[in-house]
Amino acid sequence: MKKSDKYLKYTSILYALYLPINFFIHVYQANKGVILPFLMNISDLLRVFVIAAFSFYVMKTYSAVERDNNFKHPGERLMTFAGVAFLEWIFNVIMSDAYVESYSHKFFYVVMGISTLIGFYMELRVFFNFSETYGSFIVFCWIAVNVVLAFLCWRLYIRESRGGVPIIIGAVVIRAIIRAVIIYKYVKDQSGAEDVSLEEG
Amino acid sequence: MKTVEERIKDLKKIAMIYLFLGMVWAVFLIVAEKTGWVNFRGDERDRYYLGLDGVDESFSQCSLNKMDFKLPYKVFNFLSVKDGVLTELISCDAGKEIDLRAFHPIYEVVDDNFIVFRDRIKNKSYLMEKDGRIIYEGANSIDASLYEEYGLFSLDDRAFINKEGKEILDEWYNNIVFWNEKLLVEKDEESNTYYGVFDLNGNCIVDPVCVEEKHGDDWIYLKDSDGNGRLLDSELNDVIEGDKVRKYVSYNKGVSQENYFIVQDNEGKCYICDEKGNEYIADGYDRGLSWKDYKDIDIMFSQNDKQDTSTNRKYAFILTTLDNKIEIYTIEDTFFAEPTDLITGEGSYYYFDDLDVVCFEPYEGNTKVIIPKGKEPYTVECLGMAFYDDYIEVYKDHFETYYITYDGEEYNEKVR
Repeated sequence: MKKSDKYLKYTSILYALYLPINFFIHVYQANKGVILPFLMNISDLLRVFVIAAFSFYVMKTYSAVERDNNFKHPGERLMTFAGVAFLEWIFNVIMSDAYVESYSHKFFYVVMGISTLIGFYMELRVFFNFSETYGSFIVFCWIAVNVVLAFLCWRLYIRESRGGVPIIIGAVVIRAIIRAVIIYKYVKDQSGAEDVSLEEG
Repeated sequence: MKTVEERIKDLKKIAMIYLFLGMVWAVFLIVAEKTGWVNFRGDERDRYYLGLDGVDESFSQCSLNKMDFKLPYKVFNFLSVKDGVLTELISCDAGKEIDLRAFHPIYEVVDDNFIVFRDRIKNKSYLMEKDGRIIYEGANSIDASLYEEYGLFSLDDRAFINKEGKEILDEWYNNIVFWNEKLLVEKDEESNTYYGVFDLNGNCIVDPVCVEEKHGDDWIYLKDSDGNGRLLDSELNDVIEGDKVRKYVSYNKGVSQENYFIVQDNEGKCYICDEKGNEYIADGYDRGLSWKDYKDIDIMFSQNDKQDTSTNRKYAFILTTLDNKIEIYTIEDTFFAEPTDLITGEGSYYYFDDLDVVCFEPYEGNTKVIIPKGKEPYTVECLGMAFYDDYIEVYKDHFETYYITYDGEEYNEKVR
């Protein structure tokens, strides 16, 4: 076992913790109106690396039976998530000094919306794949929180009112917790499998 | 089914594809932004609405035609796209009070040529020209209230800059007051405060070495460290020629303030004048008082709280005789008590007109002097005193208190 492989499993902890922390720092700053773009750009770039590293980990460890030839491995989906996050980061950095209140900047909404949507979808599929192994309750929770979140966002978009934002933030928190539980179970399973394989070896 | 190695290889391929896409995306964005192919920012609003701080809510916004000013994108670029979108999504129109400092920096348009703005994130102020050129930036706030008339901007009343962004004084002061087209400066040095006067070009008129400064609308009193005072008018000409202004005394009389100056002439005799230099004649002057018989004069006002803002506030003169005795004179009572030599050195006087008593408290030592009206003055050794209608409560030390009458005798009727 390579040394890098040994440390790769810690990327799952990073993924479970760093992504929500990064997101909620953004939310906190936006809410307070005190924004540190340089630090947050560094933080967002790190987020890309965290997602990419986790995708490597998943690629190495996830070994469910491929159902058909079209089955896409969760690791690949995560790498797509990382790639889109990277493109979003580039857009954010290059367009930053163009953000002035006096403009309508609808394009910014479009780009950020698309990248968020892709990330949301990729995570939905990846953690659905993971949760399938851990019983229908976990699957239900994961699907439910995502459906609720999508519904709330859709309602926000239709009504064009910001009243529902705190509920959406709450749903994101619950989603992050369920995601962390799935990751925890997945990593626990993988460690067990590694121990068995080591003993056999 | 692919092996792990094959899958990793695939993953690396995807990563490389996104890296390449990222580079293409970056080039596209830069070129599109420069050439204007894609309108990333969206439509520019016709007018800029800028938040103004410290202004009444109904006037809290001012608007500019979009061609009037080049707004400071480069300075005001702390919003990233992601944070900007999030801020709008989370905060705007949320119907709650949110500190949107990033969205609403403090702006002020000056003379249609300058814009003063404060970045409340970096806590910096900027003075910017119409073309977007920043001519001054600093941590202190910039006040443009003097610009229109004098072409100056105040930096927190500690320095002044002109419209080229240059500081007009050589150094920063603790406080600068704009007075009659002059700058009264105040600086603290080793626990002392010094005052001076400069003109609006930064030329020194009075060196900042004066230890006392008082001013009104059209007069200023400056005293140097040797105790020599000067009373000057708004053009800084001496109001009193030749004679020495020794002291400034003021008190509030109703809504206005009365100002008196104790002046000593060349012969060492004193008199009192107002800010115009007119000699003040006390009401009792014709009843035997002649200022010229004294070598120093001071005025003390009654401690009676009820008279604080009264136009009839009582006051008494402290007169130092030629043989260094202290005499108290009031308008109602003329000579309050016999001249006493018990008072020596510097200290504070307290006059209670309703109790007919004056108390002197030296700056050093605990020997207080009580001067009852028409009676012999006497001394009391104590830490402090409280004056009541019939008696004086004397705090001998931190533990012991006793009572005396205004004659200085023991007061026995007070039973504790």
